[in-house]
Amino acid sequence: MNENKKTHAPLFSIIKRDDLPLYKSIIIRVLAFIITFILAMFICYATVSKKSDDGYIKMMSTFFTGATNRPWKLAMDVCLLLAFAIAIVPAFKMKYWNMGANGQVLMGALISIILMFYLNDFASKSTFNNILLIVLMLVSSIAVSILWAVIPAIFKVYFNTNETLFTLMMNYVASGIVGYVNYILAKGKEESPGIINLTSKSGWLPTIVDKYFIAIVIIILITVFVYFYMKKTKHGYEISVVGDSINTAKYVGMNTKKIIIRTICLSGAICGIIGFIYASSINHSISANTCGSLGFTGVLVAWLANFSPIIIAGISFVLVFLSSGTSKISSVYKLGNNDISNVIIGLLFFSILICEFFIRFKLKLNSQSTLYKLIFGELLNGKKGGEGQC
Amino acid sequence: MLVAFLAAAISMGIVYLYGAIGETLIEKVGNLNLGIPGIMCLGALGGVIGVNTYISLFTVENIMGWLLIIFSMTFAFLFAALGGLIYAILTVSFQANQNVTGLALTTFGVGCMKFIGSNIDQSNLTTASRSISKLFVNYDKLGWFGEIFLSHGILVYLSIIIAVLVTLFLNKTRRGLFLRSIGESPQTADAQGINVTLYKYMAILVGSGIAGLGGLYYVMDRTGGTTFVEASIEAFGWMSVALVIFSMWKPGISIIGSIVFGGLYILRSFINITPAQIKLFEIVPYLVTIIVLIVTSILNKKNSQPPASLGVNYYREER
Repeated sequence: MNENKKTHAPLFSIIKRDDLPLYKSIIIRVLAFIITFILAMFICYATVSKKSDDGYIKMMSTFFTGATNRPWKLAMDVCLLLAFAIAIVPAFKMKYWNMGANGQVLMGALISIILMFYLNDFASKSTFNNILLIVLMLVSSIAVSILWAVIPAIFKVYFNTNETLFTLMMNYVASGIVGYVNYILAKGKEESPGIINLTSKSGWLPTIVDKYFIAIVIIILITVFVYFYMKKTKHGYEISVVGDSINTAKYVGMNTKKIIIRTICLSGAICGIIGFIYASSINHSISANTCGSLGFTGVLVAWLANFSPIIIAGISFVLVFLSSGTSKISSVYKLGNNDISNVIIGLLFFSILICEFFIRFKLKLNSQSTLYKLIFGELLNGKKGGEGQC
Repeated sequence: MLVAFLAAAISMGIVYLYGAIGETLIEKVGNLNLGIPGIMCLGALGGVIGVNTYISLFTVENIMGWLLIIFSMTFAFLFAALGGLIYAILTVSFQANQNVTGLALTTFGVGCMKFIGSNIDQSNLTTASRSISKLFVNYDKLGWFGEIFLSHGILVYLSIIIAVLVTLFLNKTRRGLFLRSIGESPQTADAQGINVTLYKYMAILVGSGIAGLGGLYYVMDRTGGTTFVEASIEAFGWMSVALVIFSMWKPGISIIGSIVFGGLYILRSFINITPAQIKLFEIVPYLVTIIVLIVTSILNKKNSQPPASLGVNYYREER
């Protein structure tokens, strides 16, 4: 190589790895988590120590009691995040970016709330009527959510309208409608009618073992269903073909339009069930903020778990554990608000994204780069060529 | 009434305009940055820290307006660009998925603003805001013209200048052409000898910085320093992303678009409607965006489409 010739080779070449063994990739992820956790707790402690004399260990015990003192609530929160991510998985597998899970869930929950509100008298007459109401709520939630999900999908399929932005906008349309209906239900006097059927409990899922028990079971069943649907059925196979290459799918004679719309319907249906759970088991009321930003967090979780339901469950648990622990810290030490948990979740995602890179790629020093010669030039004197590669 | 409405529409729209110019610049190199809401929050946080820094260095009395603006703008730009840097490192160098990185950045940015914001001193913001939010004196002597166009702070005029400059840069300069070509096909641009990574980094950093000024503008000018931690900058960020589509990736059109969006947002305080109807009014900008999205995709015209490689990372060794 001519030493005088100017080259623009970068110091590192990025090379795609062959598949890393599973245990190694898990070790990398766990390490990333531990590093972020330590960093996060350091940030927490830096703020806590300004407001209180409690030591680090006292703060950590607050963290762990905060995360574990209400196990059913913790389980419910984990399941909710899991459900959002699972709802997004089938669509994602086709590279269809459904950013609208929030809106779809809200619309599903809204129709359930409306039914609970107006059919209260009917449902309080007998247990049978109440069961009828619950079934009706479930069916209509699923129907409305499917409708909300399928509108962008139809435009995507026929006109190639950008679904990321379309579904994103649909979230805000849904929040607006929820706000409006809340006023209508409250007869325009207040912002919302509050908890629906507080005394009659019509349309509420019954309490078995715990208030959240049935909801949790439903979500676990959905997760198992999606797992088998994606892995073992013809539909699941078609989804993965469309996701890998839509042209291949077309060439082998698959009806891609039908597959996309059918899959989005499934995604919407799961969102409908989540909406139903919000109305019948968790909140019994609705607001534009009912599901927070779980739809977005679900996207992150589903992506980072590489669509595997088991890993999704794992990441969901970690996230919820972290955020309930930190929210306890921020309420005990009066940190103002609970947003420190968002900061930590953001950091956690960044670190997982970085380690995804190291799982997929490896870096190789580039002996032909100017920087390399500058740094290692003296060492290489006499040894022409070096051992790196372009 | 109409005069006040138009003045308020411009004043509100500028928040979206900053976000939209920044996002356009980023999308033009093929990166869909869904972290804009978080970046705008970081900008707001930086701006407030800048104001506090100025006040701690000098005094609250006799504020030198121009110096305060330089301080707050520099901090806002740097904080937002730092958010952009995280995004750029992850998506450009580390090949992370753009949507996922963007959403993570939004979570992080909003969290940072609210968490750090609630722990810093906000007592001087209203005082400081007074020296930012009006550029011209005696503008009311010019009647309706003065009221609509001259009653704003310097950040309003700056945003329009930036929009024009960015339009000129993208359409009339060689570097602008290079930048756009990366958004259409990074492979081709790379083969032409254009430094794709460098352009992507620059566009993302500068774009994020500009978007961050939107957060600063909202806190220090639009609300007069009264709303900071509770500010719904996140929602405005999403509106900015919508405005980019609405203006079909043209910063010049987004000036008009921002006024339309601003008008739709503040319309509810100018007409006599019930709180319930206000909620319905809030969805109008989003509906309009959806319609634009649908119409542009149906018409499928060449010059109203998103950059062809939008959302796809460029990895040189992949064919």
